[in-house]
Amino acid sequence: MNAKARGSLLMVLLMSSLLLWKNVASLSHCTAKLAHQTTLPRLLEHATILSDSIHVLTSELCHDFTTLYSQDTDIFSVLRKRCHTASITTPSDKEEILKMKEKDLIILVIYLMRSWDDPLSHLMAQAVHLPEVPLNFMEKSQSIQEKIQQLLEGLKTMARQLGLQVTDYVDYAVWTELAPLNSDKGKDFTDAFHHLCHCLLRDTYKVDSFLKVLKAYVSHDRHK
Amino acid sequence: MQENVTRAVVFTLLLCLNIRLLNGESPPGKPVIFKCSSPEKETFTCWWKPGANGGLPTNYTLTYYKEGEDTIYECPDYNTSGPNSCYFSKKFTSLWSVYIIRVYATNKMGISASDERLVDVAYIVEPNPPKNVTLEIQQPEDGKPYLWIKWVPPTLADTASGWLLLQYEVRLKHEKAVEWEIYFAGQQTNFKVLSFYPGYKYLVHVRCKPDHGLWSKWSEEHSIEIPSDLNMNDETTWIFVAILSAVICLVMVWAVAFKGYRMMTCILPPVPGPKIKGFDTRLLETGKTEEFLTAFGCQGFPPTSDCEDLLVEFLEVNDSEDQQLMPSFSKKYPGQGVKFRHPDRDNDSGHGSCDSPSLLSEKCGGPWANPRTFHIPKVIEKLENLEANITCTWDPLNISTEGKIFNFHTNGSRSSTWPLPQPSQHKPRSPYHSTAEVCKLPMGPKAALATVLDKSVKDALKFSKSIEIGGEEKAVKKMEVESFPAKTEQDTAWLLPQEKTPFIPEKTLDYVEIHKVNKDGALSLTPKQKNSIDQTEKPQASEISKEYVKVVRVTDNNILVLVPDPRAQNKEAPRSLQQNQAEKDTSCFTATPSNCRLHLGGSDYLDPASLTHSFHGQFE
Repeated sequence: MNAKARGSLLMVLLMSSLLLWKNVASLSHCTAKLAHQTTLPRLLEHATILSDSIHVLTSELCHDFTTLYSQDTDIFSVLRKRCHTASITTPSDKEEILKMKEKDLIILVIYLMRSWDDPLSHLMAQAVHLPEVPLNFMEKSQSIQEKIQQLLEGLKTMARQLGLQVTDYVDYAVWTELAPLNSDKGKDFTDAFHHLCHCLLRDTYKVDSFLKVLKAYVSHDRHK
Repeated sequence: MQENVTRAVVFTLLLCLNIRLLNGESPPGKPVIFKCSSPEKETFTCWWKPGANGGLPTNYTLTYYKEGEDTIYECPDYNTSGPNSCYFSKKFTSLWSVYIIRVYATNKMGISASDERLVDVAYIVEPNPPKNVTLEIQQPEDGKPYLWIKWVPPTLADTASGWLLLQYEVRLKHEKAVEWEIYFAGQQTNFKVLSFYPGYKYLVHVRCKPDHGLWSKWSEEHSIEIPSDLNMNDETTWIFVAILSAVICLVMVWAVAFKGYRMMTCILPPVPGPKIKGFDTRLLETGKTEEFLTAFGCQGFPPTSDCEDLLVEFLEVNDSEDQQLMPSFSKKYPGQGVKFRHPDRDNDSGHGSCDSPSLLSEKCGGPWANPRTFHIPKVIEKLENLEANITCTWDPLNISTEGKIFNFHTNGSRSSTWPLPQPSQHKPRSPYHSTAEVCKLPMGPKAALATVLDKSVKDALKFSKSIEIGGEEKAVKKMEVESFPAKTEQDTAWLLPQEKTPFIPEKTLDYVEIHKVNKDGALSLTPKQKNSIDQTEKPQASEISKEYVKVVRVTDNNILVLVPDPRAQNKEAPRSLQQNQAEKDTSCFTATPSNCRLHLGGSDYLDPASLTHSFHGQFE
């Protein structure tokens, strides 16, 4: 009886494996386009989740910071300074974004995210010198940095899928605001923090919006 | 000259101002921009609250400039969003750049400016409430009825292109409730409410929120009347089932807790250990296979021709139900507990109670190392030989604590049985019996048996041996040892059929005392007067001392049931033996049989019970 059961089980396994191999074989015959379309939505799904989380964390970080140091900060002076990523031309309304191609959007997002790697590290390094560090400041900033890295990885994969070359997205905005962060003056120090917070918040929001539009576009496109 | 003109103008203005003031007129109060919001992240509106107008018509002007730019713009649309508002259309809206907005109130008397308001459109998104909220009661066939709430996103919000991702929230309560139940609906545009009370009117609101924006206002109130006759039984049914199961579980737990042991034994009866009659692991360990085999009662193979000598002349079986030999085996000592029941028909026939553990022959080794000094083993040996003459074939063990039948083939065609105590009468104490052995007696069993039984008083102390006839031999002729002296012509057997033997009458127990044990291993017993169980009483006559008895069995009460030997001159009623000083000797049996000599100098009593126990103790 046992032998019979085993035999039948073996037969079932063999059949199922045969069928599976068939399926796998058929998949391998897919065109490159089909393969690309299969993975890009999933990548975008993951990317949007990351970008949303990054923005939320940044929002919390900046809110905590502002609550502590709002009296000291001159909003206008903060606003008057341009973000270091202002040199990157980004669309400022929906129509402009919708006009952009997938590739361009990806490159743009990579631009923005790469530009923040350096400043974030410095922000975290100098946070210890703050007169009063907000709660969970270090954890949140660490998390933001990690997620940005993950997002960049996903973006690079998407870029490859879209046929982009590495050279297409090597640029990034250089951050040159190190001096104020290193200054000893309390107000300059906190102002610099404030300014960085403000710029990061904006850029993460942009990235999130772009990716969500791209995701909707890609899923809509394939349903046509 | 110019100075004079300037001074004149200033003076005039001041004069006018004074006149105005004297008239009660004043410049406008400071307006306040209280809200700026964008419904779809593409346009936005700012609303302000005017200050005191100073009694004069006041104009409000909104101006703004963007961060990093110097150009000041005026509000493009004052009307679309209502009074005291400025609507910035798509053309004038740029995301992710800060607008610095200010409102000026101007009247004849002066101008007032509001505080600057910083606006980044991306952070002021507050959509309109959802639209087209519909309420339905759905009653699926295979499930509970539910309230189904559906809506659509607000008109302006562009969710299709991914520009705005909206999340929704629903709140409902029935008319008379105080608090709202708020449910988060995610990004779906419908919601199912499963918990509601039939017969009430429910009020529902819906609102939405973009991914990084603000909650909208609650939608208009929609209501629905839940029918009273709605079938909401599923829940109650499940609650009933749950309660019932809980009650049952509690009852079971209680039962187990209180009567756990009994139940456990009922459910999981203890597994009886393996018992092989005649199986002595000690012998096995010693490596003396011969002894091991003999322990099973099979002495040599093929059997010798000495069987005839060993067969007793007769085998008297007392059919007293009371007197049964107890299989007093232990695990280790398979023994050849010769268990036989002596159906005693005559009152004066002795009951030998042979409930002794088997005394192995010399060949069995173990505790029975010294056969010389121990007569009983000899007897056993002879018994073995007797059985050896019987074709000994190894049978698979038939371990049964139920009545076992010693099958003792007589004359080849007949077989005698060495009956075991009936299970109905006695609970076999020893689970072990010697291996079933099919033996055929080539010769007259009675003679052999008699011979054996001559010495079999000690045999009585032997363990029963369960010999089961296999195969066709199953139909065992059971010899019944009728009385003492038994009919030698018959096959007598210590019969104890597995079933109750109805023909075995009850017999009273008589007591005998062991007079002596001769060198042949015969236990001389003297009948003991009933009145005096005085152990030191010497036997009256030496003749009496010559009396032989056979051990029939050992009763439950640890009484050795003996039957007087037919060759004995004095036919005395068998008596049950009481233990006495012979206990010393008996203890020899029990404790160290090897150095035991069954020298019962005086009138000693043997209590087979003690033997039994001691043997038990030995074997365990």
